[in-house]
Amino acid sequence: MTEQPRIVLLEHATFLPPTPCGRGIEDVNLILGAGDLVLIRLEPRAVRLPSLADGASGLIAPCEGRVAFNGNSWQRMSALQTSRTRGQIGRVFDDGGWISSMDLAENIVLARRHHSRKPDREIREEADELARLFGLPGLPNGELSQVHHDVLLKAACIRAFLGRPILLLLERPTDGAHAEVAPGLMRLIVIARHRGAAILWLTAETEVWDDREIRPDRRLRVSGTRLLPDQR
Amino acid sequence: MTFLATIGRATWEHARGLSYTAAVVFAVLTTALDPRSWPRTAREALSRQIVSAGADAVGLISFIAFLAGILIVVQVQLWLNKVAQSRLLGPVLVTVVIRELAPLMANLLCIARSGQAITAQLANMKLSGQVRSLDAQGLDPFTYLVVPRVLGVTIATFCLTLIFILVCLAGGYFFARIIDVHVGGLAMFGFGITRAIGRADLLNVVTKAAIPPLVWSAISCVQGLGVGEGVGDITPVMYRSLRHSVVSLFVIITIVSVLTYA
Repeated sequence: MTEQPRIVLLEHATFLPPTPCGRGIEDVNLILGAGDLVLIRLEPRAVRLPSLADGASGLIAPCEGRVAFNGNSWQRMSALQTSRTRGQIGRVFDDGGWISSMDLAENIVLARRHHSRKPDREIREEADELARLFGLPGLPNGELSQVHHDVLLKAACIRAFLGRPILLLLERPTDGAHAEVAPGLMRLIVIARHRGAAILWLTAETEVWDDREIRPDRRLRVSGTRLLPDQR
Repeated sequence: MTFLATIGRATWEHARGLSYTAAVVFAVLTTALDPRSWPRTAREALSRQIVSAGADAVGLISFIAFLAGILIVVQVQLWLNKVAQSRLLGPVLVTVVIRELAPLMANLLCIARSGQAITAQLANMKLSGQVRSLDAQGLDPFTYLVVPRVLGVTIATFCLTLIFILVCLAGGYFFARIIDVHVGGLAMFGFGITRAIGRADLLNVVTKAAIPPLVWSAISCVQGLGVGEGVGDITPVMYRSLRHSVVSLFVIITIVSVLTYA
């Protein structure tokens, strides 16, 4: 149990299956404090489970139990509060989460531009710095359909870490390109943990699970309908 | 009993749909008045919507208005000449073009052009998880997707109605001159029309150019975001959106005309 201030609390939370043929997750108890890194091993994509990242960010409500962010239950927030609170969460989406009518650079800075009044130039400079940690020359750009998979993964990480979020929800961030993405991502994770951000890393990749460079505070795995501590 | 139940169920469904659309319009207007709902991204979405629904449609609406002007002005003047009442040209044009035709045509063209585009775009975004992605990043879909679209389309339709009136009357006048129909001088033509416009006409055209687009664009958004689970649901949703939009347009326009002139 962490002694840091709680950023996310899932208490006896049960989430329904996302599709009729999917599976739910029951009785999830998870606390993420400042600086915590929790690694959760998922099952392959073929198994349709409710997204824990959706649950933690209040996009899906638990049918039992509760989910709170910084001590406030998502269910009790107004629409405006909910949006502003989600502005403090950085996320790498399992399905990319890209807006097809925008180019890559616009996608990366969209949420940051929405939630802050910082000049565009400063936001782009911050994004440039993050991009350089991934070995990119600057903020990646281009039509989404033309951008290489590795660059999209790096761009998703840049988008998630832009604006110094206090919670990071990373859904398969190195999907199929661990060697290319992990070094930059680990640098960002170290910086984020140092400044007090909580990180939930969800992965199904053995490479991530076995990577000794990643030193999570806890390792959990989804087994059946339960989230269990990893025994090893 | 089954027949009555069917009618009752259908009526209930329509009433629910109507109240839901009214609630969305009300929420759009109240949200739009809150300055906190207008971060730069929402303001940019609004300006993009005005450009795509308004500025990009000026050419089409002008062309349609020009042709309509030829049809109406020439016909009206010909018939008025036959009954020796050409001094009634102004009032008749005000009645036909300004009160009824311009708002109706501008709204119909915008429904076909922008309403359908909004429904298709939002339905695609919903199905591909983009709406969820925006929500997860703290961009409230209502504030970022619905409010700018509804307001942008309303502003655009209002402006296009005015453009329709101007082009329709001007086009008709010049074509009448070309084919030698007696319409008098330009100043006289314009004066006859402006003299025939009353307060009720102004109220009528403003109402018809502003309220229907608020409603049908809200319908387009609601239908788009309410799409089912599969890509195959997009086409039925677009048909439904078109049907509801056109019906709401005619109902509102009829009510406004009846309330203004009856």
